[in-house]
Amino acid sequence: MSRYSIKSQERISGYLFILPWFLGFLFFYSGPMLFSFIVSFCNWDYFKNLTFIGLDNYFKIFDPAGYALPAMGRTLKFVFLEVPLQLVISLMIAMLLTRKISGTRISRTLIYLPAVMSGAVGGLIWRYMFNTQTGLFNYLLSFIGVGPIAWIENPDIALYSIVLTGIWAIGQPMILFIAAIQGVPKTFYEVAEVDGAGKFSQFRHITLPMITPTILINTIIILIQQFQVLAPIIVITSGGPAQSTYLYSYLEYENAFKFLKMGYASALSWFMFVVILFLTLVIMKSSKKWVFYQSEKGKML
Amino acid sequence: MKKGITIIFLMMLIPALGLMAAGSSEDAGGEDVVTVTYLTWDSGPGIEITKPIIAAFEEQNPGIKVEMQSVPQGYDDKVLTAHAAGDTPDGLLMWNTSQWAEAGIVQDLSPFIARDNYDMDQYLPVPKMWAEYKSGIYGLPKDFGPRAMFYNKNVFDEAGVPYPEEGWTFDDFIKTAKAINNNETGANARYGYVAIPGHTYALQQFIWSNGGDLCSPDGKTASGYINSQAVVEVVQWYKELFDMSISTGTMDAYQNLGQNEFQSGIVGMMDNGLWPVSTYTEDTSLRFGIVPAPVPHKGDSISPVIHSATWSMFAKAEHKDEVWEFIKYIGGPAGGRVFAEQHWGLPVFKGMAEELGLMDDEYMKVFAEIGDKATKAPVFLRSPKWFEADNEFKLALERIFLEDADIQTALDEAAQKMDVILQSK
Repeated sequence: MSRYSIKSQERISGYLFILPWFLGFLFFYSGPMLFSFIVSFCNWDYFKNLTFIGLDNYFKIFDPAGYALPAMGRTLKFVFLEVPLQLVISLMIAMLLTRKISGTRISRTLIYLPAVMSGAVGGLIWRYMFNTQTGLFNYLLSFIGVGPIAWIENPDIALYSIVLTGIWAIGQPMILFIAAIQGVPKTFYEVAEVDGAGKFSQFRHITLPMITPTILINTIIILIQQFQVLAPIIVITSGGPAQSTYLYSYLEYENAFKFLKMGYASALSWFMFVVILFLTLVIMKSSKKWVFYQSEKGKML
Repeated sequence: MKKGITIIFLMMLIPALGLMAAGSSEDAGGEDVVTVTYLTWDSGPGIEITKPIIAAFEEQNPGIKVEMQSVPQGYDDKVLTAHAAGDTPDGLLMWNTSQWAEAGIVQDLSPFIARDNYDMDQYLPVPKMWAEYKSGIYGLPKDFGPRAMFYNKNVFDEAGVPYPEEGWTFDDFIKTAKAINNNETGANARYGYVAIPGHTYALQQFIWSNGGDLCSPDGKTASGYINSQAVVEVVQWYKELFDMSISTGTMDAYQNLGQNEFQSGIVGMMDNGLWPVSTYTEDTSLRFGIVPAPVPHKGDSISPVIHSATWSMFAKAEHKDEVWEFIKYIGGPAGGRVFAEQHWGLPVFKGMAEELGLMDDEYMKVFAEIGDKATKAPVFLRSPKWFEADNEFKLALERIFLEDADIQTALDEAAQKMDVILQSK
């Protein structure tokens, strides 16, 4: 039937599936990436004056008096809050929406909707809701006699408020979770019910282990996305007040587009890339301990 | 399997061919008509207002068509990336002359001005300064507006506080703000003033009025300026004001400083440019007035800060002569008159405000009178490094206003860092 063995057929179709992404990477990303890597060793104001300065840009990142390290610290804090928040909420909602209750379709659409909206528009809406005097949150809180809270004007609170805006990004992980939960064979639950396992026990011992591959992929996707979160920072706080929301991505943006320091901004990007790569590898490595693969083949991932 | 690969390649080819076809058909139309493309941050009504100007221009110049490209969001990023990619429109609205001139994004218009003997003396001095960097002229002034103090008459009447008058002092300002504060919270709260912790742009006018400056005239040194007595006094005054005001600490607030809070009557006073006027005059329930900013001491005079922009040309423009014709038209009296008639800003031409009867308008009159007193262009025009340096000043102010840092110490530290930035290569 075919000149190829089943194994190499699978391999070929696998490569074919990733081909569009690979070509996209090759033509649209690899060039700029290489260029930014070169530029990261230079002083470049975008247009003229390209001079080689060796590792100076990288030294500047690690300058203890500089802004890069504190910004990275803030970003790590942000990401470590954001990833569990988005994971837990999207999983909870996915659990709800896979039950046989009415309105799940419309709910799925509504919850996914903010993911379609541009970050700038979403940020604007959040800013209106956060407004101390006229915002929705303080208006609602006033009914129970709480507040007003200076959501984005208090340096101690602002970062957590930005973390909250991540709730609107749960559409994508939710969809993946829904698919995963629906992929768990019904027979498992039937058997468990016969054995007298309760709902929570079923979730704990069947659903959760079965969807661990999706938890892994969601964790990594959210992690990478949250490192790069920029639009809400620009629109809602622009790094303030008192640098409390001055995340690494915003530092990069400012250096690239406001201060025209493309060399330094490129070095900042590459450092962020290394940090993300490292964390992703750690998570991948740890996944052997907690991710359940149905087949041996899965382990090749 | 092979068949599958062929199909996939075909599928990838088809859109590519389509793109090529679309590209070639575009060149077919024109016969000696040059289309000038012009980048603007305006949209909606801001584009509408240019239509009659462009129509009149095209009638006078049958060989040139003008196409406005509107980028209301991320304008600066778009300008930078278009230039870096080498594929720019022909013209652009510009605001940060020093940075874009230094980086070579915008064209020095001096040769065109000299060639056509174009009269630069018809422009008011400070808007003209906005277009200049080093020895070049990088645009023709569009329009301008100084900052002024808005006061909500409803709030003042309710509190029984007399309206502010020209010549009022920093102390008067604090007393007025204090008298309006009613120390309540929620919807019933009234504040005298809406403040922003790091609004360095607005602070310039107070610092200048107090005899100080933010950096040296050549834009190279901040020490001795930003941490001078004159600045410390202003920051001290503003700190007292800040502590009793509501604050909007967010980015957009830098452009729309407390506009909503002012309109809804939560605050009595707001420092702003002239953009809110058109919105406010449409709101019939809002009664408001405009007054020059307060002065440090009785008898001092104000040194206002203005906002402006220029009609400029990309250095990589394809149709330089044609876009220059358009810039001359829209940036000349014919175009300027249309903008001024619609009260988009004050005209940049000597005598035009009087000629157009702006002095009969309650609000434009105040702005025009303040504009006449302007002698300085904002500090950022002195150095392309200013924005980075300004961040340090902003940060020091936020530490002072939000975290009660010591004023002199915070400003001394900022001055040192600013020097390093301003003097860096």
